[in-house]
Amino acid sequence: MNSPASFMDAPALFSADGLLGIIFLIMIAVTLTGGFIAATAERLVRALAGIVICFTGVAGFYYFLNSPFMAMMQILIYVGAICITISFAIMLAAPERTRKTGPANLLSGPLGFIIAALVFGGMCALALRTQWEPFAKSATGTVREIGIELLTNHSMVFELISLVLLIAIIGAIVIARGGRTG
Amino acid sequence: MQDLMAILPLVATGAGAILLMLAAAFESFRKEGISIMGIGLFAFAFFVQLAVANSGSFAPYSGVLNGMLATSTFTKVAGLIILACGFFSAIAAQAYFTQNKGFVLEFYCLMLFAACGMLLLTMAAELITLFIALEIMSLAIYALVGYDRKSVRRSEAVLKYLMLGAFAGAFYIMGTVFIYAGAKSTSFRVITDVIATTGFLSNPPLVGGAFLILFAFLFKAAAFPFHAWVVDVYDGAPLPVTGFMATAVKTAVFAVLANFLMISSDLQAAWVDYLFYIAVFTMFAGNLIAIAQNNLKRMLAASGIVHSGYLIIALVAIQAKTFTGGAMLFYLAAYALATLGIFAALSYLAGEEERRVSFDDFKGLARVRPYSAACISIFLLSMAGIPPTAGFMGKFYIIASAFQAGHVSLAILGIVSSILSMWYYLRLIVLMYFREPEDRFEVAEMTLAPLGTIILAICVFAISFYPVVL
Amino acid sequence: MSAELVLSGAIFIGLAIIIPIVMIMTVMLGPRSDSAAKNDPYESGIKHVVGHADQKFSVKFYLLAILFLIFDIEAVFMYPWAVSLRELGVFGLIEMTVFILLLLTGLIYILKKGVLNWR
Repeated sequence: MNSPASFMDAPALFSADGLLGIIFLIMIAVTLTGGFIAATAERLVRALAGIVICFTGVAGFYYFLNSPFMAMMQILIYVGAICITISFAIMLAAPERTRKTGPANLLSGPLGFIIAALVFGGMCALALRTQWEPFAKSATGTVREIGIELLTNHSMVFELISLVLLIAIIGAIVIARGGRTG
Repeated sequence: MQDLMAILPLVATGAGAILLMLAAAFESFRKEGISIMGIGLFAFAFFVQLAVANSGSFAPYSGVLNGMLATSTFTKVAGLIILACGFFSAIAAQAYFTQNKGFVLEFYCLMLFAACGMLLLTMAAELITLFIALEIMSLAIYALVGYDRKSVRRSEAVLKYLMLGAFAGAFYIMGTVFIYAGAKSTSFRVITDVIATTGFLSNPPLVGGAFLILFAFLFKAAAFPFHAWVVDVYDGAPLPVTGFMATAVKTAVFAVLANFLMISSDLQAAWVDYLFYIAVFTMFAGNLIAIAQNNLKRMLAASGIVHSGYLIIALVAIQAKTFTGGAMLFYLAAYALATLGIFAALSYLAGEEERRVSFDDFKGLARVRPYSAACISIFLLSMAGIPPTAGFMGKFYIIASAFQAGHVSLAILGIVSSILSMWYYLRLIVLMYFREPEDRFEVAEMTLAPLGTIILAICVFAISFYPVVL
Repeated sequence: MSAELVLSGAIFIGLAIIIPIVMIMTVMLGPRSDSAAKNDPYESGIKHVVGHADQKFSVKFYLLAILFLIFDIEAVFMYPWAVSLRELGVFGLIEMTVFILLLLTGLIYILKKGVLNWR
């Protein structure tokens, strides 16, 4: 179990596992493509479209990892609501035709790259050193289980979520309207 | 029943906040009424917390609501400090808004919500609860910093704080995921057991998770690599909010940092070396930034970084077996008193639209307003750590605990840093006392904020007599 | 299990046949009209739909989107409760009531603030 899985251990293409693997690879492709578009797009609206694609891919991961509730939330909240909100935010801002805002700091590019590489390396080291349990053993994540867990053991967290939403309402209105009463 | 007692202060602050929200919605009170209500609700919450802290056993109680929360003397006293910070910040805000435009009726409601989040943060004994508490606090503070959309400085401050805070939140939640992967639970108690059986360093997801979570906390605590946002954000925020952020948020974050490190002595031991350097760099980076400032608010922000450094010394010196948090809480209380005092004084002295904020603006204050100048001097001396103020005792306890834990070099560096910090604290005192006044320091008539300042100045001396168990 | 699979398979195949048929039928049977007004792109309240996507908007749209997002999240949290309603019993109902009541105060706040008044 300790040796890293080699390519030869991969399941046959047209078995159930093989098809799952192909779907998984498609998800990875969708997520990475979306992320790439978002990171490189010149226009904010196009970057947003990239984010939508990326989020859809991530929702696929959640579904793939046996967590349909998370997948649903990802689609409903992130792809649906948050991206719409971001598009409004983009449209609220003044349209900027000039792209370059000034000479960028010479250090910031390489420094950002080094930090990103460090984080990536750290994550890889972490993933490789851990003895992960086989997937099937930790497969709990149905909506029903989440509901029971959320409303019994984590009941306080559940109530606090409504408090967070309440503060979000107040904060949004206070900041957007600047205290104006209507 | 004990469950109910433990969450009573939370319910008091939360219900108070909702009450204020509805009062703001129905516009049943004007500015003055809302201010008095806000101050009153903070006082009420403080006394509720005091009653809860005094009732029942002081023994740590880890079973509140399925182990979501845990209370101990440490959390109860931290809660008291937070609510006192809220109370005095509310008084400062009342003075501030008699002279400044742009009051929003929701101001005190957001402050109470933030306080509710902070109380939760100190008590949280589970990573998801902790995250929600962090979000409640942060969201309310973002809104408090940026409520004035017309002001460019406020908007800049809130944007910086929001973006970096969101990053910190992302780090935190990533860390939670790793810890869940390593321990199969988010509860502190279970994580303690897992570390006791499998060890900490031999469990990579736990190491990575703790790493990321501490990053997030260090960001909120304004410690060394993550301190860059502090000066701009504190400068851009309205004065009473800056005071609230500098004291209450710091108390909550250091309480939760201590609680997190207390999960296991292995975890703390693995982090001591890093925390050592973080403490040293935080102190000296803060000092360097503070010396360079000409704006009082920015200087206080930078000195807040330095004080975070001292508090990290206390974290390094934690001994898991005998942890009471006494030194840390005393330091937090002393720092909070001095900082709140200065911000309360500034709230009425700064004048309309924060006119007077640079060092030069306070030239000769002692001639025109001797009591205010005396109070500010007391607060500055306390921050600099000059006996017999609370600040001196706080530094003494922290450095003594570092000696006790065997970190002699850290203790000496702490003393060096506190000598360095005298430069910018004493500079203001010299300006106030030994220069001719150029300004007449006219401010609107008010009673609460000057009274609050004087009370805080008395407290600076009074709490030095409070015995602390290291 | 296999019966369900067969059933769902049958539904999908049925849909795959019915939907194109309906689409073709509407084109063949429905009345058609072509006019400049009909071909004009329409978005509620926005006059210049053609042009750059990044044009200025009223902040009201944004607030509405944020409020939608918040109540959307609220609705999502009702879903796991609804699925496990019977197991959770009265306690779950009380919890959900508190949850909804807290957000109801938020709704009252929004209404009293007049955020939803479109002027």
